[in-house]
Amino acid sequence: MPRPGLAWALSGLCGLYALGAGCRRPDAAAPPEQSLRISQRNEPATLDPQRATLPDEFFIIRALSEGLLVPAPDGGEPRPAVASGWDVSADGRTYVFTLRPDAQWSNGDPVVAADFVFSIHRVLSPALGAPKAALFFPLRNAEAFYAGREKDFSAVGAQALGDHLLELTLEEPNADFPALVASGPWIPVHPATTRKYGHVDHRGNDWTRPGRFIGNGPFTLAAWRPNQEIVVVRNPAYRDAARIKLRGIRFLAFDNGDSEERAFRAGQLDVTLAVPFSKLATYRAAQPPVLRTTPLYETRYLALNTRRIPLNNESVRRALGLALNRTALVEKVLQGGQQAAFTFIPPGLGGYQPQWHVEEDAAEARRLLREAGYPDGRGFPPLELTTWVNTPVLEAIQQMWRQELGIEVAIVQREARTHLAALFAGDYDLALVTAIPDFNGASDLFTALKSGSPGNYAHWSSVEFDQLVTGAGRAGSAALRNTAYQRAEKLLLTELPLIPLYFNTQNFLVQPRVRHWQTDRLWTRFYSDLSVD
Amino acid sequence: MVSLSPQSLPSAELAPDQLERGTSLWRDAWHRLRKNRLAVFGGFVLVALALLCLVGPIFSQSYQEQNLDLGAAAPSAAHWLGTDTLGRDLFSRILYGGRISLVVGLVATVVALTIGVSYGAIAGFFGGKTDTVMMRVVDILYALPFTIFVILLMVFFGRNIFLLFFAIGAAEWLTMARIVRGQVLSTKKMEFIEAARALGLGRARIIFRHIVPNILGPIIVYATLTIPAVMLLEAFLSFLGLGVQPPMSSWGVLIKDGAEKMEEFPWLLVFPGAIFSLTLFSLNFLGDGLRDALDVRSSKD
Amino acid sequence: MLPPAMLRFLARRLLQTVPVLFVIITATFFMVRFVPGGPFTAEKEIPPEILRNLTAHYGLDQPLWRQYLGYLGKIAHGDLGPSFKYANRSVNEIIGDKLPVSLELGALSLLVALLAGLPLGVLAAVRRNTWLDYLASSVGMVGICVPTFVLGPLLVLYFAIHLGWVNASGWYGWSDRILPCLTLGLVYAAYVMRLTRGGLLEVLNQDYIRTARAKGASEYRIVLRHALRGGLLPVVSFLGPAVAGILTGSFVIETIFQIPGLGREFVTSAFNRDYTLVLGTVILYAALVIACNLIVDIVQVLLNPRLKFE
Repeated sequence: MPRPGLAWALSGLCGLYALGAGCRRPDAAAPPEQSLRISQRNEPATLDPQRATLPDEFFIIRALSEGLLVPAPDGGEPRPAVASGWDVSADGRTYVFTLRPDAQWSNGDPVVAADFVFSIHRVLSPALGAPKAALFFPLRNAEAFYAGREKDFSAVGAQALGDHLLELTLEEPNADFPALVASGPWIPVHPATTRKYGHVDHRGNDWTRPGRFIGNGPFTLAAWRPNQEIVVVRNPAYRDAARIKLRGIRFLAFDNGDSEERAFRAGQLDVTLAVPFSKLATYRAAQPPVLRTTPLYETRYLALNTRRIPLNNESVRRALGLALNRTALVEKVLQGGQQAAFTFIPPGLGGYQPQWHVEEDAAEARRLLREAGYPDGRGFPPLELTTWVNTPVLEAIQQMWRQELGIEVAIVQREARTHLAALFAGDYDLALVTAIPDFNGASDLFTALKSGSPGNYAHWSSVEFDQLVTGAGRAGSAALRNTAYQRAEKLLLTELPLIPLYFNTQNFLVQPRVRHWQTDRLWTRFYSDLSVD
Repeated sequence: MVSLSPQSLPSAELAPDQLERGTSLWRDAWHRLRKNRLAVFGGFVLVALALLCLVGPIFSQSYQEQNLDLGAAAPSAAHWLGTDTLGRDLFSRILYGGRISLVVGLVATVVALTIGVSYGAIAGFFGGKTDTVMMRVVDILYALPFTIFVILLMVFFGRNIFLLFFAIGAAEWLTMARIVRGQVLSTKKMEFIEAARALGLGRARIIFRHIVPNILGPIIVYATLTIPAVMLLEAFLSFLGLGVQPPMSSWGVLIKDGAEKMEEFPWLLVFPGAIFSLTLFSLNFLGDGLRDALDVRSSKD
Repeated sequence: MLPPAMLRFLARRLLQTVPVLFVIITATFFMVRFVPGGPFTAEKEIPPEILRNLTAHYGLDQPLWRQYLGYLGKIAHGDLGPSFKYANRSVNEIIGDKLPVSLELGALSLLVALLAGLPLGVLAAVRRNTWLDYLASSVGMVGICVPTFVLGPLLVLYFAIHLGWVNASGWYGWSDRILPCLTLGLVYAAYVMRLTRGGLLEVLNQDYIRTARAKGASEYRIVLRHALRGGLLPVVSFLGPAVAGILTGSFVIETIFQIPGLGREFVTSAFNRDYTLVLGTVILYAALVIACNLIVDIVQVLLNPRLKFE
């Protein structure tokens, strides 16, 4: 019987090859002029600046709208945006912002102070359920209005003194206030648009769709295909439109770091959000350099449940902290340029420099453990270290504790929300946690650790700490505030309800054709100066 | 002259060992299987792998001891198959992982087989309302969200590896039941079943001693397909944080890790993948051999 | 014109669908709520007042039975509710956007699976235990031994990055369909091939095949006209639920190739505790499974002359 099969197979293969060679890959063949493709790792749940919570959502929001101020890339004083400047009263309680006369919404309406008052009213409306409303609480009566105690919004410290003058009155002087104003949730919304598509503070209000979204930023929303791409195009009505060289940006959805990197290599993507671990070394050696490393104000730490034995014993906690080798963790395990963390607050956050550092001393750790009643780890109860992100750092830590202290800690990987629910409920022993501040200031990291705060996963309570943090919040000057913080942090790092491990960095890839890519240490994006060759 | 009187005939009693040995389906099958060299080879490889994974770790290096200075290293004299990114010996990790994967594969498949075959056979045999209700129950169970089911199991019953087997087995028996039911529906109309019924054999006996042995072919084939599916499902669950805990790993997890690093450290993918494929090929040959052996009509004897 | 027996069968099965769906919806509704954590459990904790407002807006503070009844009422009108995670998007909208993508991915992959698996399976069965059988079986085994999360990236590395013929990811042009459907199709092709081979082998030794051979029919005719009907039985039984699964997308393929399909939502909605989306996807999947099983049962009767519509 003849063997037609083989002949068919061969000709089929030849045919495929010919077909394929004729195929041009659509996306990479000729990169579109002055158009950028940026990776978007998390699908935004919303593009409403007052309902957004994730940095990923603000990536897009910051392309579409801007607030009174924007953060400075180098982390210093916030820079003017819609506001050209501000004045502070002598007692530090009243701020008057001067708005630029040429600031416009994308439909031509001028941006006026009343828009900001409207936005603040909206964000503080209890019905909206704005998750970041706490960033507005420094305003006088803001918290009371939000909680429903104060019914009249005019009692809240936000007033328009004219079209281009906005007066904001605080409960108490707050050195962090400009940084708060520069944060994402302070970006205003266009009043008429929110009114048009439903009740203003109704959660179902659908004004953020392409074609409806009105913003005052460098780009407008052209298309939103969920889990595929979000397209923004240049906004000619922007106050600084002459400076914008890009015609548009496409935010391409990627769920997976490996797919993202492959797309970058294939020329389909200009900027990624991360780099797969195993590729770091390759990209470091690559020419021309495409790898960027940005240190972040992000602390990765181990929360210790101070309500459980033996973690309620301070000596045990300190022993666990002393027995680590953070340098080995960041250099050998992570290899991504992370910084070993010997403090909880990243140095430089909001101008704060920590004073007290944790130490590493294995011998002292063993001594403390013996003192606590577990010589050489004997009798130490088996503990679980839970996480929802599986990182080799934990396995290395497990090994370090086994070697130095002789104790066994099991790693338990839980599904994300089960893990978080357990954290809030105190249903864990040790847990890997990430702390990211909402704005360029240390206060929300500190307030999260106050007694009873939901972010206080260690369920730790210290009256002295609470007092120091509350006092720091009231401090008039940055210097006084920082001193109070330093004392609070010293207390924190002595009692050690949490063990700081490292400060995260962002490693990402940028194609050589992209110019002027800037980020700061808080995931803020700066789109105005971007261009491509 | 030979006398033909009854007294001169040889005794009617024959010594037992002179009786021709009666034989059964299973004995014949075993005999045929032994002659199938490919199947025997497959069986040997499987047994050897299982023994290696069971006993090997006792003699090999630790699977969890890290060597941070070494990092991921290519195969060498010290580490026969290389090391992973934390400097752990890959050979030992493969052996330890084999324990998990092989046991998961075996236990979950046995669970799926037992439940699936019985359920499908009963449904197919009885037909009518029983069949309808049973198959609708299968439809319901099939549509329920598996991820949530596993999360619930983990939450309510803790992290027990046997729970993992149970969860996976619980997911796989449904399709097996459907296949078995389909086969039974056609087999039960065959003449030999009618004959059995006419003989007055009990229903359980008919189902399990007459029908099931005759449909073992597709069952075995599907079982050999279920085992790799189970191993990969376990890897999927680990990827979602619901499976084996670090530093322990299984072949599925090793392969997944290796796939992420395959350009820089190819041995991390190649070796676990090769062992995984070898196991599956052996399983395949053995399964085919079993199928051939049990198929009465295909025999040449 | 469909025979009356089949019509009665269809009618009966469609009627049975109602209680089945009802049980599925109820079971899932309560299952998701027993899992710890809710849609608003987040790493950056939400202040309790805000949590209260959110819960009230979505009606999550009402007693469970009232939420359940309210949900049933909405479903009766075809409204699957708002997504909890994606503000302003309804579940109907999300499924409406993603289902066509998954259907296309699934259908094309199924085509690949059948076009590759069926002929290979037939070939392997007819030429049993020859080198052709081993070759075909080995090719089939590739789909089983090489998991999708290995095969996918390998194909991308070679065809998209090294050769530059297609995109590495995305779902824009027709060329974006090739790699994902190949990857997904090959896995199912392996199943189809093995089950076809197994099923055919069972049948090829039956008496009626022997009769046909004795009558002098050619091998092709025997296989195609006589053996295939019975031999396809296991494949068809398997394909029922498999088709439903492949049509609702594959999580791994959609992640590797960044395809905006429904497969990801099946998994991520559970992780996000997006109750309404979980229920929406489950209902959709259930409807598909029931439909596919129904078709399979009909096909089984058609294939096997001994069977009747019961």
